[in-house]
Formats: sequence, structure tokens, C-alpha cells
Amino acid sequence: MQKRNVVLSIVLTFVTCGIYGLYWMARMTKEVQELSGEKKTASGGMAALFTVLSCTLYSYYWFYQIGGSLAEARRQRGLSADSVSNMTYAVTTVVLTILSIIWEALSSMGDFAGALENGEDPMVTAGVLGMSLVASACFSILTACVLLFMIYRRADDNPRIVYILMAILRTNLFTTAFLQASVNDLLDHGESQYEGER
Amino acid sequence: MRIEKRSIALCIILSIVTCGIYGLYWVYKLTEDTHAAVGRRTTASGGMVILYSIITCSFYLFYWQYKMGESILEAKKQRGLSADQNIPIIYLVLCLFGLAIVSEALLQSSLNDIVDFDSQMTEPLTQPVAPAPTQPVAPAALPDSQPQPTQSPDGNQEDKKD
Repeated sequence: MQKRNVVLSIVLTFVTCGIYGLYWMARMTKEVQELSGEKKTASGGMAALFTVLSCTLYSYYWFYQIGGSLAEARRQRGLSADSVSNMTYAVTTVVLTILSIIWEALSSMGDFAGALENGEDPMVTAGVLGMSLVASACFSILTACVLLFMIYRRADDNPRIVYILMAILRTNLFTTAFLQASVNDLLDHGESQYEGER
Repeated sequence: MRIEKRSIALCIILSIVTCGIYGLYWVYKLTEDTHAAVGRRTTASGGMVILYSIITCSFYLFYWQYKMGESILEAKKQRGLSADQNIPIIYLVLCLFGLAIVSEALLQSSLNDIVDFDSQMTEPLTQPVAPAPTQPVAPAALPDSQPQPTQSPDGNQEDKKD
């Protein structure tokens, strides 16, 4: 088992339009199952397959179970449940929310230009697009607020709730990155000590 | 009442195939099993949960999910299992965002874990001293699931409660 560069993995996932993300998910499943010694999800390849078949619904289940197993494995080795700080979660949430709103605004402008070329009424189109933009921005901001609240006020330092909320915000990619960061930290600090104890 | 393990994949497939009718039965069984695992009623009984959720246009389910999370937490603590304090919130959030099927699957998965744990705990009790786990809360939790000396045939569903 070896560490994986988090930034490189994110870039590769973008470049391959998510295909690498599935491979990453499969590998992560295998590694976490080995580290924790418990098997709470389908095996690596099947987990990726189920995610595709269930239109990402399975990934919520996956984040919950893998997050729990990893936190348990880290605790067994005397580490904290999570290696990522609250600050990192908060900054990621805010940046991603702003980026997603900007993205929505840009794509609305593109739709508006397209509608004008088709000779539709500019006022009506602007109204409809504006409404949907405001609605989706409100949803993003609301979810981000819930997420920020849960990051700082969760009752347990187990990061599962954060993973699931991030997945709902459609930032699954970064959730896998946080999992990877925790695995890397475990391999850095926990493994040698744990081997010694056994 | 003994709880039985149930395959999550099968439950979800049956719910889809029967257009949600099996889903109602699943909610009923989840409620009854969770109550059996905790050893007391934490919400309305299984049948009433279904009735309430139909009357309230499924708004009751939000409350139900939260309470089920709390109950699972309590059941796990009774058995000395590690449990995430955020479970009730996680179930509620998933339900609020229209992912109730995911939280039902998670609930079933936790129940299956509890069934596994109980069957492991009751079998070695005949041996000298089973390595009992530390039980921080309510030590009198397990007797529900101890096998009776005269084992009743499986599939026997008598209602002894109340």
C-alpha cells in the first residue's frame, strides 16, 4: 500500500472527466478495507460499478461506511479520527460554493446569449434565467451554511457528516481527496507504530 | 423478539420493483427491529409510523429518521460498540435532501451489525469467561437476544410484546 498524491489525483480526475475518480474510489475501498480489517461496502470494483449504476446514490452509502471504517482504523492506531483540520474543510466549502455560483452565472449568461440568437423575448428569458440562478445560488449558500455549522459544531470528531454534506453539495471529488489525505497521514504516522505493537 | 439480518440490496430492489409498497413494509420492519434492539419503544410502533407518514405526507419520516438514529446510537452504546454521535443528524440530512433510501440502507446496515454482534456474544457465553466488552451505559441490555434453551423453529413470529 502506498501514499497517493492528492493534488495529482484531483487533476487526473478532471482531465479524464471522472474516469480516474472511479479508479481512485475502487483503490480507496480496497486500501481502507485492508487498513481497518472490516468489510462494510462492496469490494473496490463493485463499489465503483454500483455508483455508476445507481446514478451516484451508492456513493453516499460508500462515504458513510468508508469514512467510518477509516476513522475506526485511525483510532485503533492511536491517531485522531481525521487528519484534516476544520479550517481546511471550511475554506474548501467557501471556495467551492463561490466557484459553483460563478459557474452557474456564466452558464446562465451563455444560455441568455443563445436565447437572444433564437429571437426569444430578452426580458422573459432574463427573468427565467435570473430566477433559476437565484434559486440555485440560494440552495448552494444554504447547504454551505449547514455544512459550515456542522464542521464546527458536530458532536463527534468523526468526519462522516462532513463527507456526506459535501457529497450533497456535489463536491464528491474533494471528499475523496479528504479521505486520501487521512489515509496518507495514517500511512505516515500510524503504520510503523502499529506494526511494532503487533 | 429476535431480529433477523436482511439483505440491503434485496430490500432496495424489491422496493423499486413493487413501486414502493415493499418500502413501506421495510419501514415497518426497521421500526420494529430497532425497537427490539434498544429494548424499548422510541417512536410509534411500526404500523403507526406508516399511518402517520401517509397522513402527514411523509413529514413524519423526518422525525422518524432522527429518532431511529438516536435509537441506533443508544443500542450500540448499550453493547459497547463504537458509534458516531452524528448518526441522527446524518440520517435527518439524507432524508431532507431526498436520499431517504440511503439512510434506510444505513439503518439496516447498522441493524445487521448489531445482529452479528449479538449472535457472537450469545454463543461464547457457554464458555468460561467470554471477553465481555466494556459497557459504559446500561449493562442490562443484551438478554433480549439470548437464545432460549428450547429453540423455537425459525420463521416463528409470535407477538409477545406489550
